[in-house]
Order: sequence, then C-alpha cells, then structure tokens
Amino acid sequence: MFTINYHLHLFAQFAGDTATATEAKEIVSKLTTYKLIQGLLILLAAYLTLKFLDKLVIWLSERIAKGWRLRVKQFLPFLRMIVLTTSVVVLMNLFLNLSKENILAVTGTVAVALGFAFKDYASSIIAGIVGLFESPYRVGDRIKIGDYYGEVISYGLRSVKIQTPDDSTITIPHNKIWTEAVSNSNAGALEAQVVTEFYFAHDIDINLVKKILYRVAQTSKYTALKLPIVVIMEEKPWGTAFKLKAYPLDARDEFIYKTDLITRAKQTFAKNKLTYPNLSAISPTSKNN
Amino acid sequence: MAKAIEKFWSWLADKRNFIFDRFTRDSQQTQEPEKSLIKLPLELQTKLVDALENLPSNPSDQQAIAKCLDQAYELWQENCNNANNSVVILSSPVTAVSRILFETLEEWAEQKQVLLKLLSLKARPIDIEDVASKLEQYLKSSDAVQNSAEHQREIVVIPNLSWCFLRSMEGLAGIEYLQLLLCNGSRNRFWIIGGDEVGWQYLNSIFGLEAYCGKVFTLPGINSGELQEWLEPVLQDLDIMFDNPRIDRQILDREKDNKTNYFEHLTDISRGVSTVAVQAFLKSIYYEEIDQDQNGKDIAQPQGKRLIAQTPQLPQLPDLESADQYLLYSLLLHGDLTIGSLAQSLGDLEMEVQTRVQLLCRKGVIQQQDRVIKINPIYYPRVKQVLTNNNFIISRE
Repeated sequence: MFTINYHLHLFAQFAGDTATATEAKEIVSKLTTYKLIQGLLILLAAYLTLKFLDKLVIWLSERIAKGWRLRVKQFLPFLRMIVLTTSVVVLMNLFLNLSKENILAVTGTVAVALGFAFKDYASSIIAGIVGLFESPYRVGDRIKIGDYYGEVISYGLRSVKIQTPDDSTITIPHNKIWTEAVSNSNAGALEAQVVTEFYFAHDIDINLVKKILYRVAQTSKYTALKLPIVVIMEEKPWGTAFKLKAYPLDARDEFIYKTDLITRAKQTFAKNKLTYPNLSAISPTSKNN
Repeated sequence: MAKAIEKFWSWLADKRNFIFDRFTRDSQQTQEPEKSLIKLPLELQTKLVDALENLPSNPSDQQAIAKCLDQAYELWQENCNNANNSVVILSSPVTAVSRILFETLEEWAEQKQVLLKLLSLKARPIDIEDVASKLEQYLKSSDAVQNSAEHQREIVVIPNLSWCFLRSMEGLAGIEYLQLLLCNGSRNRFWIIGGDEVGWQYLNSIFGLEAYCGKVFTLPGINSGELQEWLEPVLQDLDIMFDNPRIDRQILDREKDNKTNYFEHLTDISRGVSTVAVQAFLKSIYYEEIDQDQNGKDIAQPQGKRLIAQTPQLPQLPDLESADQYLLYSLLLHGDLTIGSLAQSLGDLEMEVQTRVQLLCRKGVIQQQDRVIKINPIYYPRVKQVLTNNNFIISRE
C-alpha cells in the first residue's frame, strides 16, 4: 500500500515539474546571442543614462540661482525612476513573452520570490517610490535619520545617500521611513534654522545678553534677514541658557554660520565681562540638567 | 573641440552676407564693408573720462529730488510732527547720492530761503564706534542753538546714511541713535537723509526705519531721452558718431536713427542707472581712421581719426564663488569700504579679504582707489541680479 502511494506521489510530482517547465518555456522567449547582446546594451545604456543624468542635474543645480538649486535636484529621483522603469519594461519585453496570462504568472512568481528572498530590498524600493510622492526628504535637504545627520546628495530607488558634516557619505535604505522618525531641517527650502546655545551665570544682565545675541545674528554675513531671528531663554539650576535661532542664507553654511555667531558673540561677551556658569560650585545631579 | 568651434565661427563669418541677405528686403543691396575700429589711445580715453567726470549730476535726478523735497517740506510746514519730519532719498549703491543731494540742495535751499545743517561727515569714520558720538555731538550743538531760539525750525541733512554705519557689532550704534531721534526728537527738526537702496533695505530689516520716516523716495531710472540730453555736451565736444545698431534693432526700429537706437539700448542695459550708463558708454567708444579731406572740421580729436560709439554692452560677470558673493554684497551694502572695514563687515580676517579683493580687482568686478574699494559700476546690474537670485536682500520691491 505504502509502495503504491509512494509511486503515485512521484508520478504526480514529475507531472507537475513537466507542467512548470512547459509554462516557463512559454513565458521565457527563445534566448539568442543577439538578444543577449541587446539586453547587455540596454543595461549599459541605462547605466550611462543614469550616470549622465546624475552629473547633469547636479552640475545644473550648482550653477543656477541658489533658490532653484533644490527644485532642480528634486527632479533627479523622478528621472532615475523613469530610466529604470523604462529599462526594466524593455528588458522584460525582450526576454519574456508578455501575454496576459504570462504577466500574471510572472508578477505572481516575482512577488513570491521577492516576498521571501528580497523582502527588505523590495520594502526599500516600495518605500523609495512612496517617498517620491510623500517627500519626507528630497535631494538637497538636510535630514537626520537615526544617528546620521547630513545633506541628501542622492536619491536612489533603494536608498538615499547623505553627506555628513565630516564629509562621510552614508547610505540609508528607504525602508527606514516605515519605522524611524525622519527629521528634515529645511524640507525643500534653501534656509534651515540654526540654533546656537549660550550659557551664563544667573546674575548676568539679561537685556544686554539678548541685545548682543540679536546684534550678532543681524550683523553676520550669513544671516537671512528675511526670516525671523529669535532669542529664547531657559532657566537651569546652574545658570541661564539662551538659544539664538536664526537662518543662514544657505543651509549649507549651517556650521560655518554657527561658528561665526559663537566667535563674535564670545568676543562681545568678553568685552562686556559677562560671567559664565560656575559648574564646579554645584552638585553633579544639577549639572546633568 | 575649440578648433571645431573656431572653424564654425569663421565659416559663419564667411557666410554672413549670404545668411543676412535672406533677411534683408532688397537682396541686391550691397553690404557695408566692416569698419576697422580701434580701441581708444590713453590720451583720448583720459580726455573722454575727464569730460564725463565733469558733467554735473543727472538733471532728471535733481528735478525728482527737488519735487519730492517740496512736497515733504510743505507737508511738514503745514503740520509739523514726528510722522512727517523726514524724507529719505535712495539711489543705487553705485550712485554718489551725496553729490546729487549737495547739488540739488544748494539750489533748493536758496529757493526756499532756509538754512541747512549739513552733517560734517565726508566718508565713513575709520573708527566706526565714533559715529554715534559724532552724531550726538553735532546734533546736541544744533540743539543748543535751537533752544536759544525756541520754536525755530531747522533742516538737518545727512548726505549719505552709509557713512553712519558698518555691519559689525559696534557699527550700528549711530543708526540706533538716529532711530531714537527720529522717533522722539524735536518735531521742529526736518531731516533730509540720503542713502542707497541696499543699505536702507538692510537697516530697515533690522530697525524698521521706514516706520519712523515720513517719506522714502527712490530715484527713478533715467530714460533714453534724458540720458541723451545729459551726455550731449560730451558728444558734441568730441564729435562722436554712432555706429549702426545690431541687426535685430535695424529690423525692428527702421524709423529710428542710430543715435536714438544707441541711447535706447544703453538705457535698457544700464537699467536706468546713470553711472552704469556712463561706464557702458565709455566702453563703447572706439575710433576709426578716416581720409584727411573728410576730417576738415575743427574738432577736438586727432587728425584722421573719428570717434565711433558702437552698440554698448555690459561685460559678462566672471564665475563667483560663495565668498565673492558675500564680499560683493558687503560692498553694495556700504557703497565703498576700506579693507579693514570690509573685513569687519564680513567678520573675516583682513588677509583673507585682501586675497579675495585682489582676485576680484584683477577680474575687474571691483575697483580699488586710494585704499577704498567699490564695485565697478558696469558690473552692477549683473551683480545685483546674481545676488538677488542667491537670496540676498537687495532692493525695496
């Protein structure tokens, strides 16, 4: 009884394999050397087009008015997607017999394969496409994902590349937008707010400090005077914290702007003999606040 | 690549007659031979520059200022209060507003029979911290005179507001003091303040100065007729002829003569700024050799030479780095600066600024005369455009 069942099972499996093989034969069109060469040429053309578009858009965006820089850069992901989609469609048309049934079979097979083998990859690609329309970040934005902060320099189909202030390039897959918070400093605008903190002892002349801080921002060559300058204060057990919030003309100047503000503010504080908090006189728990 | 472009240009030059013949109505009409124009020799150029420098300031500016002053002054005389006791005259940063103001006020004061108190500043003080004390000292002394004659009205003139500030930590004290006076000062005092648009825009964004001033008047751009009239003495003195305009102008404005076409184009490219127009005019003058018998008249140019004004053009702005843009904005903001003041305004070291200044001087974008640095007026329209495109606050619009 067992032997009969075993043979029946083997037969069924063999019959199934033959059917799958026939289906595959129907889906995949006849492979010829000419087609292979064509396929390779299409891949090469797509690669070269992508490289050319990358260079062209970046070159153009850096040469035109700053106000248009980010707008031009935002074209890049869309252009890349068009090139990639077109290449995939042309390649599929070349190597597959795309009848209605075959398309269903292929998409089903691809979906299952991707679902198991390239789960994260597929998730990143889908997140990349969603990101194009939702825009949590765009090329040229200054963003923070996880521990990484920097300017978005490239928006690929699978990942985004950011350039950190210390000139490292970090690649982050798009699927992070499903789970991680994305902080975007400028969201397509040329300016990004810079917050500079200063700390003083409790007994300083608050009005003088506020006046100095406003004046420091108003006289910095980097400040975008169209946008508001704000000084806010916070009391701490060890002293008074001041935050100077202002915008540089170009978000790229963020760090050099902060340095300029601190340099000139400290020179003026020294001239006016303003006292800083004395941390050695207070308890360690207060310091942590 | 360069050779290919060169070949293409030479081919285009060869075939020019053939190409343009297609556009002309009468293809049989012969093309004029190309004039061989030569750059002006130094002697002639100096003569031309002197003639232009000796011109009085543009009369249309003077008329516009006088009209504006009349209106503001009458309003203040009818009802003197702190809301209408000041008038601010703004020009482009490459125009010497103080000179125009001096020339206008001389006549205006005589006409109105009023005494003017002119702020005794002829440039920005080296130590900018002194501006506030100088203003205080000057205005207090005039206060003392005024107190002796209660209710006597006086007119105070600040010929150039740019001399009263520097974009630095201590450099705005003078403006702060002025703001206080404009707000709480005597209503019997009428203020006439000259300044440039960029500096005013900057001060306005910080102090909201416009709220304290009765009237803010920006000098209108010069039109082609006014420009032609203004430059007429130089044209006549040196007997300058006008070359044919560009082909597009020839097609579009057939009825207009070369001179009218020239001045219309000059006004267009200079955006109505007279100093830019003068520089572009100067750059467009060449001379050509002529036959001795043609040069019979007694004119102020060398024998056998005729001055020709070609279609005026503004030079292309060289590529500017971000640091150059900040430097140029600083110069527009203050009009003119010494290296030390420029470094203070930029918050950079003097040596760094000096290097950049040298590079820009070499490119011709800025000029340095007796340690004072200015923007070359001929580059002003393009510099303004670049800075506006790059997020800098430039004009009042």
